[in-house]
Amino acid sequence: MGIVSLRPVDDDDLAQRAADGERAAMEALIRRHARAVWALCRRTLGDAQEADDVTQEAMLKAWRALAAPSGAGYRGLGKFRPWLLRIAQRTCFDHLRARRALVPLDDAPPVTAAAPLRAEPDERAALADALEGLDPRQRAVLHAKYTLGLSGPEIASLLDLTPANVRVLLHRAIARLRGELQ
Amino acid sequence: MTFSDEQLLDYVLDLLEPAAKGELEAACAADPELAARVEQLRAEQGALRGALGAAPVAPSDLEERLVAGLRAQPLRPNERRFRWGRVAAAAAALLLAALFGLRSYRADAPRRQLIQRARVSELHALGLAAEENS
Repeated sequence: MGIVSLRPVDDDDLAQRAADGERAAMEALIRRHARAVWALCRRTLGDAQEADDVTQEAMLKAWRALAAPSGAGYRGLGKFRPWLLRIAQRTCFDHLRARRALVPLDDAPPVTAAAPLRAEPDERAALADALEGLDPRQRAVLHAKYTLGLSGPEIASLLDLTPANVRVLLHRAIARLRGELQ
Repeated sequence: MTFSDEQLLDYVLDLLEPAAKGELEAACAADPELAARVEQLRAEQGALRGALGAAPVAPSDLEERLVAGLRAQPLRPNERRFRWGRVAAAAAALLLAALFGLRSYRADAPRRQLIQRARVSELHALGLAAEENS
């Protein structure tokens, strides 16, 4: 009687098979990570319909990159999701740039000092609403910090920014939220 | 030692270098007012996590639509190149085989002529023998 392995197939195995042209492996990766990609796109873009389109585009880009003969594709190391999210994040920014909705980092308006937010339940709902009014990069950095729970260097990698820029973005985003709610 | 609001926010965001973090923690232990400012910022972080921690909820049919979109793609560009590459390699192999065969056929011509002459001679000899017997 043969031994049946119950070990779940990990992302790296699936990525390798997808790179070899196995469409079913890419479909399995899509099913695994689609919601995380969509959520990132939705937060960054601020629009559900556009998030649908960009998620689809990002998945196709990932599939092509996986099998890139130049070796520019995924390199394993168990970090498939961060790699995929980075593709999605770049695709979001490309779309925003195309419709001139991405403000250069240095052009962001200055923020005024305000008291820290309180942790009351009614303020939490207002916070979620206020998020929609922020700049796309600020929404993206807050999503990376509070939804994905990433560290400063991980956020920098996701957003293609320096750690110093991530710090500035986080400070500005929090200050904007404070300003919106006071 | 005084700490700015930005430094305190860096601390609760976990963006401070270890040395600066240690200094701030020592200062908080000795200064209740500073500790209260940090606590207020920590509470704010809790509010932000509470409000933004849950990801936006995707449509229920998201995965099906994405998979359908993938299946609608005819072939990946590299797959297409790969197939054309195979066709080209097969054609080149056939051409080489044909050229090699033709060359071998030409190189073998003198031997074939000798064999043919030998057969003719043999048949001729057989013919003479048959005449003598009759």
